[in-house]
Amino acid sequence: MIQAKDLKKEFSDKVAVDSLSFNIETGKVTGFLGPNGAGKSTTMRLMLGLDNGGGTTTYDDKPLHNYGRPSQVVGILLEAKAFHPTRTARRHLSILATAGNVPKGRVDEVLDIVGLKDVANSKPGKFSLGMSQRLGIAAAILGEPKYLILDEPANGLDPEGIVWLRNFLRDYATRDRGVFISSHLLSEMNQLADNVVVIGRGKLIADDSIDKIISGAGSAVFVRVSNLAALQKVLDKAKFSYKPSGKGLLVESAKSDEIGKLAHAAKLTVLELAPQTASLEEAFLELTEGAEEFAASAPEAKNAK
Amino acid sequence: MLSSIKAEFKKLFTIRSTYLFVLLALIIVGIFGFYGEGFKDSASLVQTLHQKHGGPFIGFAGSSFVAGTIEQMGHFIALFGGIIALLLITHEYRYNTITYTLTASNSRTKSLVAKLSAGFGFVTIYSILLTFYGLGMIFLGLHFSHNVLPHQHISYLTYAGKILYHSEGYALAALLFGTLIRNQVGAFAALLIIPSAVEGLLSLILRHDSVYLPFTALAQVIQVGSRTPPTVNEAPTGYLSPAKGALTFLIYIVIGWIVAWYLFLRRDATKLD
Repeated sequence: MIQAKDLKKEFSDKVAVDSLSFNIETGKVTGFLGPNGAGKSTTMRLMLGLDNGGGTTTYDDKPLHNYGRPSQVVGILLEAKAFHPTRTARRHLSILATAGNVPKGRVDEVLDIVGLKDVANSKPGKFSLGMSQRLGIAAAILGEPKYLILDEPANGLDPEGIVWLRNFLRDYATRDRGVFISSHLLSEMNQLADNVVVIGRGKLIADDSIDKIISGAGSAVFVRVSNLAALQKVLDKAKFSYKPSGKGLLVESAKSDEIGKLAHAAKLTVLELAPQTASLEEAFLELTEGAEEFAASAPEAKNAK
Repeated sequence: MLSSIKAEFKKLFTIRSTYLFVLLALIIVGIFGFYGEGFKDSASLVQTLHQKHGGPFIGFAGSSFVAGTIEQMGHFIALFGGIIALLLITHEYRYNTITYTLTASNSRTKSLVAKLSAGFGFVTIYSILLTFYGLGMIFLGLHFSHNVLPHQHISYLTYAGKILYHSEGYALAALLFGTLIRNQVGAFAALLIIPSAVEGLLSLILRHDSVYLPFTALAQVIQVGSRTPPTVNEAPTGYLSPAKGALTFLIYIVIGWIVAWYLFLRRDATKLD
C-alpha cells in the first residue's frame, strides 16, 4: 500500500498542497481528480520525492529512498514528452533500463506491449502526443514496478488507445499491484477506477470508492403515476422534495423502493419509476464546487458584455 | 551506482550533440594544428630564427614551439569538452528526463556523482585523444611544410596532464553552471561569457590580481607552459605558476560544488519553484 501522510507544499505565493493524506491500495486503480491547479501533479511529485515539501509517503511501509532500486517499486509517467527528441525510443528506454538495473530484453517487451515496436528506432521528437504517452507508459512499466503513478496518461490517446490503456491498467492492478492515475476524462475514470481521491486547492475533498462518491452526490427518483396531484400530496406529507420533470416528478434524495411503497400505500397506479443516478462528472462538479483555481466565466456573462 | 554511471555514459553517446561537438573540436584542433601552426607558423618561426641566428639553430630558441602550440590547443579542447559536459546536465532539465534520473536512484547525491563521473570520464578520454590528435596534426603540418625546427622539448606527460587538468576544470565548471542554472541557454551563456567577457572586464578593475579569478587562474595552468615568469610589464593580467593557478581554480570549483550539491538536494527536481 502507498500511504501519503500530511503532504504539504508551499510556493512563494500560495499553498499548493495542504496536509493531504490518503492511501493507494494494491489490487485497485485509484483515480486522482481535481480541478486545474488543484495540486495533483505537485502531489505526485511530492510522493516521489521530486519536490521538497512536508509530509511522508511510504511504499509498503518504507520510504522510496529506502529501496535499492526505486524504479522497480514505482513506475512514473509525469509528462508525456519527457525524453530527448533525437534519442530513439529504444535507446531512451535502454538508458532507463540500465539506470534501473532492468534486463535489456525488457525494452523490446515493453515496446511491444505499448504498440511502439515498429517505431522503436525512430526519434520520438516527431511522435504524436498519443505515441509519446505510450512511450511514457513503456518507461513506467519497464521495471515491472509494484506501483504506477501516472499523470494524465490518457491525454492524446485515440479511442483504441484509451480502451487499451483501461484494460492494461485494470489488468495491471489485478496482479496485486497498485495504480494511481490522474485524469480529466471523468467518464474514463468512471470505467477505470475503483477508488477516487478528489482534491481542490490542495486539500482533500473526498477519498472513497467511486460508487460511494457518486451515491453521495445525491440520487433522485423519477416517478410517473396516474394521479400526479395525489402523489404530490403524499410526497409533501412524507417531506420529500421534488420538482416537475416531463410528465412526472423528480424526487430528490430518494430511493425507488421508498417512492414505490408510498405510491402503493396511496393506491396510485405507478406508470414509471426510475432511479436517477448522478454521473461521476456531476459528483465531481458538486464536490469541487468553489474549489476551482481557474474557473471560466459563464457564457451568459460574456454575451451580456 | 555503477548502473547510474553506465546510464550517464549512454546518455552522452546516444545524442547527436556529443558527436557534433567532438567533430567541431576535431576540425578546429585539426586546422589549427595542421595548417595554422604546423604548416604556416612554423615557416614564420624558421624564417625568424634564420634572420636572428643564421643556421644551424643554437640553444633553446624556438625549442618550445610545439609545446606552446599544444597549450593553445588546450583552450579549444576544453571549450568543446565543457559544452558536451554541460549538455549532459541541461538536457535533463530541458526535456524533463531529470524526473526519471532522480527516481531511478535512491539518492540524489548518487545521481549527481554519477553525472559528474560520466562527465569527468568522458572529458578525460576526449582530452587525451584530442591532445595527441592535435600533436599529430602539428607534426603532419610540419612534415608537409618541409620546415626543419630546432630540437623540440616536449614533455608529453606534463602537457597531457596540464591539458587534462584544464579540460576537467572547464568541464566541472560547465557542469556546475548546468546544475546551478538548470537552463540550457542560461548555462551556455554563462560558460561562454564568464571566462571571457566577465573576467575580461573584471581584469580592468583588478589588474594584476585578476589572475585570481577562476578561469584566468585555470588558464595559467596551460598558458605559462615552459615560460619563465614574466615581468610585471610583460604580463598585464599578472602571473601565477601553473600549480598556483590550478590550486586557485580548485578552491573556486570546490566551493561552487558544495553550493551546487546543497541546492541539488534541496531544490525541486523540476523548475516550477
